[in-house]
Amino acid sequence: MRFWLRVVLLLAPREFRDQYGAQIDASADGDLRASDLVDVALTGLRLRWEDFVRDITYALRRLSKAPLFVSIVVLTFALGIGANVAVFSVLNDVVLKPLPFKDPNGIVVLFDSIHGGANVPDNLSLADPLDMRSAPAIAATTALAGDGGTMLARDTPFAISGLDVIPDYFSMLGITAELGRVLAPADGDPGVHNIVISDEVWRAHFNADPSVIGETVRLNGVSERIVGVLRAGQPALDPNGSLQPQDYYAALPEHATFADRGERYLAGFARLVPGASIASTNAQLALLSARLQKVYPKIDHNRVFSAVPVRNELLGSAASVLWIIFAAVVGILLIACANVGNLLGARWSTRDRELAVRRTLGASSRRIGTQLLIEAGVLAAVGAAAGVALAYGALNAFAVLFANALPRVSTVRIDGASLLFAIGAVIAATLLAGVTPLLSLANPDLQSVLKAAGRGGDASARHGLRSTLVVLEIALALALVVVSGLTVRSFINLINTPLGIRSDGVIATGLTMLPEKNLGTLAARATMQRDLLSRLQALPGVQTAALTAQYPLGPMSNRSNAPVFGRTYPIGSEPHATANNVTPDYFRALGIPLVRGRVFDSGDTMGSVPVAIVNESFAQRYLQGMNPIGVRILTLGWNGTPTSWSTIVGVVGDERDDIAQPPFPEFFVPMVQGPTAYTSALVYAPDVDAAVIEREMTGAFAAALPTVEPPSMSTVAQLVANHTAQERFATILLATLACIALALALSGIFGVVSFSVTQRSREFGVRMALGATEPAVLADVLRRTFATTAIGVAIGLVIAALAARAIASQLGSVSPFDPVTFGVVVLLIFCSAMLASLQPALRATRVEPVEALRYE
Amino acid sequence: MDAAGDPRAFLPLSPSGFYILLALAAEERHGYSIGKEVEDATGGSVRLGPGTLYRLIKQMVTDGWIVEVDRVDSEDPRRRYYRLTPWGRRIARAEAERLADAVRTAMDRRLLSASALA
Repeated sequence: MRFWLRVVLLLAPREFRDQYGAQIDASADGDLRASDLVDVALTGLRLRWEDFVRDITYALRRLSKAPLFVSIVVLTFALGIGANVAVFSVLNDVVLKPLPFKDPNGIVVLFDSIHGGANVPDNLSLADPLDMRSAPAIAATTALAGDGGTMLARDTPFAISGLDVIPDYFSMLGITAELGRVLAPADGDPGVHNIVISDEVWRAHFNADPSVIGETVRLNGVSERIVGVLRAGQPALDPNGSLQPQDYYAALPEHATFADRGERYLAGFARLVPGASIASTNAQLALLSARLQKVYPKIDHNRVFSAVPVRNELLGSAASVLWIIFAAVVGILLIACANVGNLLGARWSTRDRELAVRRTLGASSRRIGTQLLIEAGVLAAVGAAAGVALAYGALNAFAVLFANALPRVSTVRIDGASLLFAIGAVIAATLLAGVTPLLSLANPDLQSVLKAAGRGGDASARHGLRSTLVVLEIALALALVVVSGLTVRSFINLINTPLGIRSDGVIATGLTMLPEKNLGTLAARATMQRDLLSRLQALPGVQTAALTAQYPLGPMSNRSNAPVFGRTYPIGSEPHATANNVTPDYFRALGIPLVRGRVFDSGDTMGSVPVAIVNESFAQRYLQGMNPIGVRILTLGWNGTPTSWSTIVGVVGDERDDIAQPPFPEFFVPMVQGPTAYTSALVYAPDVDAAVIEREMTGAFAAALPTVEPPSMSTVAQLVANHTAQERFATILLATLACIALALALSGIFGVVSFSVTQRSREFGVRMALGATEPAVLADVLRRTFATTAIGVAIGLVIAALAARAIASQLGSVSPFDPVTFGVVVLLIFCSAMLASLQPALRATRVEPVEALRYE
Repeated sequence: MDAAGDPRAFLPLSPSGFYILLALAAEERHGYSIGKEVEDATGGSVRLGPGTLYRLIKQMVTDGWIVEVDRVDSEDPRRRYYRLTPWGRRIARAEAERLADAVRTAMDRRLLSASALA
């Protein structure tokens, strides 16, 4: 009983324990009951609460007398904590939260790489995921391809997005239907046309009618039966990781024909059996690949399957960018805390006298310390409240501005986790900002304080603490600006990478699937395409129009082997290239230069000799030392187009399909010799407003393909911008954060130098009375700042170098120790530190000796 | 702070507070004995837990109603003795008068017969 009494007594404030603990303890000698323990516990909590309320009231009353101080500190905290809350919310929702699927840690992305050489990860063919099911580590596989087009339901056509999936997709990811059923393997059988639709489509186009199950609709002209409706907001596992819900899902077959092996257009995913490691999975996949290479020497030659955790693949690049940004905002909060620490130190030291008096009146140091910390805490809490409001606004702007920059950014919001984080930030900020000034008060030599306070003196030890804070601030700011600078430089390099295509004045459409009646014969496809192209060319202001099977930076990347006639290849060096089918003006529309030979022309027809154009990378890598013109390469047909030995008639400049990768070898065949069922249109109309031309193009599509919903349109500049959205987002954010860090550090320097000049005004007065010149005083102040800054810069350089080395892999072509960035930032810090101390330094030279000495 | 102003400004007292003042009205006591006295005086119906008791003592010391007496208990040196200040006595008296008024009113309204006081 006595033991428990002592335990619950710990709940009470120390002051109460010191005064009455022994007496309460003595009462355990009598008849102590369990209810007495509760009584002591409740009393302890009540006393603590009363102290807390009293301290807060006291802090509020005192702070209300210093509105300027309060505004500066609250603003500083609001910026620091707000930035942290905003970035944490993004980090939490985009990176930390598990992917919205069943047991997401067991899901991997499947790749099919060309072994040796470039070792480029490639898409899968339909056969690949089915073959991979034989690996013991793999429990289930699926593969999917983006689809979409026009749905005609209840006599109304509408545009629709969708995925073609191997039906195990649903069971593998734990996706269930809200109505009807999800797709099953049998839905992929020949002649079966079943789809499931999203809750959103069901509500928008079927009035949430439950009888939709079993209803037949037309999808790109094909009859499909709706067998299920998915749950509202069901995210899709798509290759680019946006997790955007899709409007419908159709089934891919569960059986691959021999021809399917060559068409690699699918993104593959698998679920591993519980406990299987990535390493063992990859070992099994390597064995499987070796076996397949023997069975299908032509098609699977040199191909190696591999698996990567889905999280790394989908969120990897976003995660590393966000962690860098998060580190930057944490740095900013630290700098903000150092700033506030200095302000608090200055404020509290001017209260030395009051505090000393209170101490002599019996207030314990602990009590006074608690009260000061609570003052800091109140400021941090008010700042955090303002910061959360700022973060809320910032995130709303964020979701709009950077919708394409990060996966699942549209779902980011301030939630319970963000608020918990904000509370943690308040506690951390209170301690960080409050502890240093408290330490300087903790060792009170009452006599000297009481004496010195009468003369406005400042203990030099205290000045030392403040300088230490400024040194840390400068170090952190330098590191932050350097790392931001390096990252921004690497992103700007990336954004400015020439893509090899013209982006101004070019409008590109999304992929449109030709209507059903034209899918059958290649001739019918070609007719349809010729009609569409001539309508586009006839539009006013259009200089060039072209059709292509892959639009610039688009999602489709059809890569295939393209062996050169008459050659045999050592393992790993068989030509592998992106294949594209284009109309003749494709190159002119995108401003891709012709390097040798000719581009396609009207002489290339369906019946004429099959021809091809290759890019410079293809010529350099695979046709080195020979004239490419006249060489024949095997162009694998895809999307139902023929495979043929095609004669190279021209070489064109490289274009990139991924800004972060070097240009890939590419070959083109004339659209007329390989009319694909999907096409995208490109129009070069430099003198017409994009909105106008897009409207006219929509009209041309509607006229040429009346049963098809016209595709989406955007300028190539917009496509490029979307493609680099993540880099642009990070650049803007990091540059902003670097500016904030710099501004905070400078205001810190300004504050400390100002304060020390005020404190030393007597000394300056004396020195000037003794004959010191104004330049000498000025130099003295600046010399001190310079010394402080130099120490900060030295420490900062070490932090910056370590941080830069840690993110070296993110920096691409920029060296982590890039001397230009380091040099410019060091110079910037020195100059701005000097600038920040100039005003107070000049003030020091204007000290009137008589005025200063009057206080003696 | 004692003898300042009108003691009625502090009324009504909480029952626990009043019983503590009553316990100290006759003689100085240590904390534990205050608790015992309150329990005895009310026939066990009011029992102050040690937390409540010392919280109230602390408050009354701070407010100057009672003071700690410089006296060492021979049985248990941990015990400390308390005594009413004149100001505390005035407050206790004011509370007693307030209650007496209330009792008189109750008798006037025939809620209580005079014999109940006997």
